[in-house]
Amino acid sequence: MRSELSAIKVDIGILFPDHLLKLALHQNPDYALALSRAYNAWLVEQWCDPSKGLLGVIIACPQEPEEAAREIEKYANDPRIVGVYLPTAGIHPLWGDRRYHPIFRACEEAGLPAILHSVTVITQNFPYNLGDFDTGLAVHGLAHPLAIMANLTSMVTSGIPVRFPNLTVVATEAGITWVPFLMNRLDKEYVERRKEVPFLKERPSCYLKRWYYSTQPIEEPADLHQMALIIQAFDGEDNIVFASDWPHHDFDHPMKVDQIPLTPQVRRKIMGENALRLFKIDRTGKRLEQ
Amino acid sequence: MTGRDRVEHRVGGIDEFPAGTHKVGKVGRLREIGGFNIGGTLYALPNLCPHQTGPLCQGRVTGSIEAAANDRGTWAFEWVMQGEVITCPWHQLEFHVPTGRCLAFPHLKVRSYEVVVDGSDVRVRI
Repeated sequence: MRSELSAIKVDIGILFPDHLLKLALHQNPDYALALSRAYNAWLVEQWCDPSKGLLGVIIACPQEPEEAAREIEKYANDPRIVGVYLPTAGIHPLWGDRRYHPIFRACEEAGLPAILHSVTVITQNFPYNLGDFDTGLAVHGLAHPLAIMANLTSMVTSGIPVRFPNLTVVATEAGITWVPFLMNRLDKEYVERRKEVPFLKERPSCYLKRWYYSTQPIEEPADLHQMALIIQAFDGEDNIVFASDWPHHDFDHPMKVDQIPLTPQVRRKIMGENALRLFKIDRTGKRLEQ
Repeated sequence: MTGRDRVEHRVGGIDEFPAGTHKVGKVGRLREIGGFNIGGTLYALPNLCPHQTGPLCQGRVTGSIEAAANDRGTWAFEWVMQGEVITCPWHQLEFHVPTGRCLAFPHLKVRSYEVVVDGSDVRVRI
């Protein structure tokens, strides 16, 4: 992994699970919890090595939120761990549901970001009920963005950022061109429906703008200037983090994000400085004191 | 192009490129080239995908699929260009080797180097 990341010019890699992207689908809560504990222990022992720029995120088991909170507390100060991964594929109910509050509370107290990451699954629940499509192009095309948009909408409209004001949330693997859509759409709804969400002190986009968005799979319009405009459209220069998703089939080589016409300052932010702030690490991958 | 004269680089002997095969070799210090023998004609493409710099010529050479509407409301699929399509192993972009043209994005073309066979030597003009 280290040599492969170096070959694509990545200095520090944040490691995510592969098969356990589907943990939320597991029917047996005890087994799912045991799997998450075993994965977390295996990750820190066998994979994470800050001296080699390999850092990890632990899994929060959604089937057992209180126990997941215990896991987060356990690894809160581990220098090998920089975030908490929320299995988003097939999650039901969506992450805004109050049953998950112990997880968000624990993330906030630990100072670790809560990171949503999905994968293509087809279930009977929105937004994963994609069984009517007959191509991977359609299913994969919609699966990630819908998963993220639905869960972010669930979290904002149930007041997660108000209940946990110091919680940082990260959306991954959905590209970034949908971000200004969601911000603008929810703000427009807020005009008429503020009384449904009176706990929000600001319009929805204000909360979304404080959260982070990883680039992969970065969209590739023929005119890359459009990507620069889209980033501007949601004031994203401080909140976008480059992600490769190596070694998945739809990974991005950094050159593709690097090609977007940005100022050198914004490029540095997106290609690394925002991630250092998000994960609270220095350039060598060392976790900074809280 | 720069306007400087092309230089010929030997990439191997003719027996190293049997019909229906392709292989990657280095030319100079940095440049990698894929050499293809399609039905006795030799082609050379850069081993560099214009998408995200992947190792284009290390992919598989196959054909591809075209489709036209049939009268059942579905498609009549046809396998075409057998042996003429290279698929980049990174993100599966397909390129027609003889023309260098990308099937998904026709405005994208990889340059096709001129191949010279001189006796038993295969040379590429860059």
